[in-house]
Amino acid sequence: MWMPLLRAELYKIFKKPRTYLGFGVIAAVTLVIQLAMYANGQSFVDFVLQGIQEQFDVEGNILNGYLVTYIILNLLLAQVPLLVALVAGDALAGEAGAGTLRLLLTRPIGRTRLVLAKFTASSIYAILLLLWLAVIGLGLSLLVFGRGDMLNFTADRLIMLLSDDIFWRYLGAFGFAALALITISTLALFFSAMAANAIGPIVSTMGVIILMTIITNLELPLFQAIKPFLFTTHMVAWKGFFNEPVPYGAMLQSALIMLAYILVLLGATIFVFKRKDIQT
Amino acid sequence: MAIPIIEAKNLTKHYGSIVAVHDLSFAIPPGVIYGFLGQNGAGKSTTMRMLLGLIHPSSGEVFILGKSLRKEGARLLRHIGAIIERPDLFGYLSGWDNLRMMANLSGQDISDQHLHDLLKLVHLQGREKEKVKGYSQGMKQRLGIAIAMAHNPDLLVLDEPTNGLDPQGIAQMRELILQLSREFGKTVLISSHLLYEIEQMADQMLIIHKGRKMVEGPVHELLHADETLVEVNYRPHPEMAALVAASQWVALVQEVHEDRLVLKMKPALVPELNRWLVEKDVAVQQLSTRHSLENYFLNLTQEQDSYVDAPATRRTLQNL
Amino acid sequence: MKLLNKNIPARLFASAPKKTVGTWKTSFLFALLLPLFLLFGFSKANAQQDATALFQTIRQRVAQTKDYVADVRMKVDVAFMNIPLLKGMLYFKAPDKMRLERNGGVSLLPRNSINLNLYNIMAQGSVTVIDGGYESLDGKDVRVIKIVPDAAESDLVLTKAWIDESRLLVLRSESTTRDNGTIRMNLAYGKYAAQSLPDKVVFVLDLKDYKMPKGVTMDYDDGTPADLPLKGKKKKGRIEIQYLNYKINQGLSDAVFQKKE
Repeated sequence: MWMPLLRAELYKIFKKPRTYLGFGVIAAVTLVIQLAMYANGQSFVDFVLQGIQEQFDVEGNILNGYLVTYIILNLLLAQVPLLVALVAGDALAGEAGAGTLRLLLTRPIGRTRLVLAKFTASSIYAILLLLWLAVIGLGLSLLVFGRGDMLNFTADRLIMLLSDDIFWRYLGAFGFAALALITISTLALFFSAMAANAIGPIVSTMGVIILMTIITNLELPLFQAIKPFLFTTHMVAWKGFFNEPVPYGAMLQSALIMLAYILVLLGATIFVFKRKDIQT
Repeated sequence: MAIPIIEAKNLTKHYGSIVAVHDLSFAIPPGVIYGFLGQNGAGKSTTMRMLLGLIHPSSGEVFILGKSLRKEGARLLRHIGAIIERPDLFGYLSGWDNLRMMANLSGQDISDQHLHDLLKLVHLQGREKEKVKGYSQGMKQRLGIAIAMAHNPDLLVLDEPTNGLDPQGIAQMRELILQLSREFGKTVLISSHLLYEIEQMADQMLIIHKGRKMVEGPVHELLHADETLVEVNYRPHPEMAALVAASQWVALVQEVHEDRLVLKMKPALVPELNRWLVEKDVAVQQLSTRHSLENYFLNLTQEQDSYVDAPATRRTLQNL
Repeated sequence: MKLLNKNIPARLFASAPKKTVGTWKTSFLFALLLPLFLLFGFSKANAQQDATALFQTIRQRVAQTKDYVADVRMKVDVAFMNIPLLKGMLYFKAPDKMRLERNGGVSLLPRNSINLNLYNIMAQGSVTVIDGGYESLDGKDVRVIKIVPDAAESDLVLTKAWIDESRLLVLRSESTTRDNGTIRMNLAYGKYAAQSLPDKVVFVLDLKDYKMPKGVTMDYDDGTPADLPLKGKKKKGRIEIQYLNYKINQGLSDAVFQKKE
C-alpha cells in the first residue's frame, strides 16, 4: 500500500501546473545571475579582491563555475523555501478544501500513512528542486565559466579551495540544503494539517521563516539565547562545506537540530491530523 | 443470523454544546438497500462520516463486519466504497486517472479491464480520458460510483447521490443503485432528504431528526402500503361533520372540518368515497392520497419552520 | 688573514709613542706599529674589497640563469588567508618576469613578487656593497654584506645578505623595499646549488590587515571566535616555496608571462 500511495501523491504533485512554477523560477533566477556574472562578474571579483590585490597578485580563472554557483546558492537558497511551502502547504489543506481528502480517507490507507506519504512526496519535490538547481546552477555555470579554484570571501578571511577539492563540497552542500528544505516542507505540512485552505499554511510558513530569520540576524542580547534553537540559524550551515577546515562539529549540530525539527513537526502533524474531524 | 455489514452502537457527536447526533444505533444486514432519511441538518452526513472514520464520535462505536473501526483502523474500509456528499474528484486529472489512482489505493490488485467494465456500467465509457473538471454533475456522480465500486466492496455508502441531478439523472442514478443491489448483490446505505427516493429504492430505512433516531424498520411496513391518508378539500360545507358521522366513513375519519376531510383507508376505496361525496353534493376541490409515514415526516419538519404544507401527492423537504 | 672583529681594537691607537724615551725606542715602536697600522688599513680595505668581490662572484653565478621553469609547491601562511598547498609551475625570465602557472587554477604571489628573486636582489643594476662582517646563522659562520642599489628610483632600498662563503651561496636575505615593507628570504640549497638555485625558499613579508564589508561576503558563522584584527598594525605573512626541479635557460618567450584573459 505504501508505494501505490507514494506514487499517487507524487503523481498528483507533478500533474499540477503550479508545481512547475518552482522549477521555472529557479531556472529564471539562476540564468539571470549567470548572465549578470558573465557581463559584470569580473568587476564584482575585482571589488571583493581589492583588499587582497593591494598586497598580492591574484591570477587565474577566479570567476569560474564554482564561484558563480556559490553566489547563486547564496542568493537563491533564501528564496527556495517559498517554492517548497507552495507544494507542502497545499498537501493536506488543498485537498481538504477541494474535498478530495474525504475521498482519500474513505480508502483503507490510514491517516498516519497518508501524512507520511505526503511528507515523503513533499521531500522528494524539495530534493528534485535542488537537483534542478544543481544542474542549472552548477552544471551550466561550469559549462559557461569553466572550472578553477574557488575563492570564498568572508569578512576576515579569504579561503581558497582547490579545483579538485570542490565537487564533493557541493554534494555535501546540496545534501545539507535538502535537509533545510525538508525542514521547511515539514513545517508547511504541519500548518496544512490544520487548515482547509492552502493559502493559510503557505503564508504561515513564510511568516515563521521571516520572523526566525530576523531573530537570527539581529545581534541583540535578547535573542542570543534562543538563536541556537531556531532552524533558520542552522539552515545556512551548508556554507560550512566551503570553509577550511570544514567545521564538521558545528554542521553536525545544525543537521541534528534540523532533524529534530523534522521529527517533532512530523509527529505533531500526525497527532493533529489523526484527531481532526474531516468536515470538508 | 448474519453479521451486520455495518453497525452503529450508541453513536453520539457533540460540537461544544451542540449535539449533532445523539445515541444513534442501527445495524445494516447484508444484501439490503438501507435508506437513511432526514432533512438537511438532521445528522445524516455526520453519521455517515462517523461510519467511515472521517469524524470521531464523542461516544459510541462503529463495527464493520463485527470488528471495531476504532480498534482495527482504516484497513476495515476495504469492505466499503463511499461517496460522501458530492463526489469531489481531482479535477486536473482525467476520469481514468482518478479511477485508476483510487483503485490503486484500495489495497487490492485491480485490473484495467475491471475498471473499464465499471466505466461501462456507469455509462462513462469513451469519456474517461477527459479531465474531470469538464464533467457534468451527473458524470461526476457516476464516476464517483465507479470509484466506490472499484475494489468490489461489500457495502456502498452513498450520501445523497442524486443531489444536484436533473430528473433524468436522478432516474438513471436510481436505476444504477438498484442494479448494484439486485445484480451485484451489494449492500447499499443511501441517505437522502427525499422520502420518495428512499421509498423507491430502499428495503429498510431509518428516519433521523435532530440527531436522534425517530423511526426504523422495513420500508413497506413503515409506509403501510395497504393504508393511506386521503385528504379531501372542498367548498365550505357546514353539515359536513354530521354527514360523515352518519356515513360508513365515520370509522376511518382522522379529521373533519368545514372545508377539509382526512381519512385513513385502503386506496381501493377512494373511488367509492368519491361517489359518496358527489351524491352528497360536496363541491370537491381536491382529493389527494398520502402515506402515513410521509405525513409523519412532514409533521416533523413543520415543527421547525414556517413552511406551509401544500397538498401534493409527493413532496420534497428541501430548504425548509 | 682573517679579521675576527670588524671593530678596530682601540688599543692599537690608544697610546701614542712617548718622545722622552730614547729616540730609538720611539722609532722602534713606530717601525713596529706602522706595518700593523698599514696592515689593518689594508685589511679593512681588503675586507671591503673581499665583500665586493664576493658579491660580484655571486652575482656572476646568479646571472648565469637567464630563465627557468620550476615545478613548485607553495605554502601560504597568512593570517587573513586560508590557502591550501599550491602546486604549479614557476616561470622566471631575467631580469624581471615571474609567473606562477597552475593550469587554470588561481595563482597567488605577493605583489612585486619579482622582488623575491635572487636575481633581482643580486644580479640587477649598479650597487654599492658594504661589508657587514660575520654573523652566526643556524650555528654556522656566514658573511654578511649589505647591498645598496645606486639607482634612486629602485624599489629596493637596501638588501642585507647572509652568505656561505665556502659554497658561495646566499642563505638569507633581508630586503627593505620602498612600498612593501621588509621581505626576508631564507634559502636552502640542494642539487641546484651550483647554479645558485635554491630547493626551498621561505619568505617572511610585512602585510596589512584585510577586512571586507559584510554585505559582500558570504559568511558562515560556525561559532569559532574570530581573530581580533590588528587594526592599523602590520602583520607578518609567511610563504614557503619548494622547488622540485628546474629547467634552466630554456629560452622562454615573453608570451609565457602575459596574463591569460
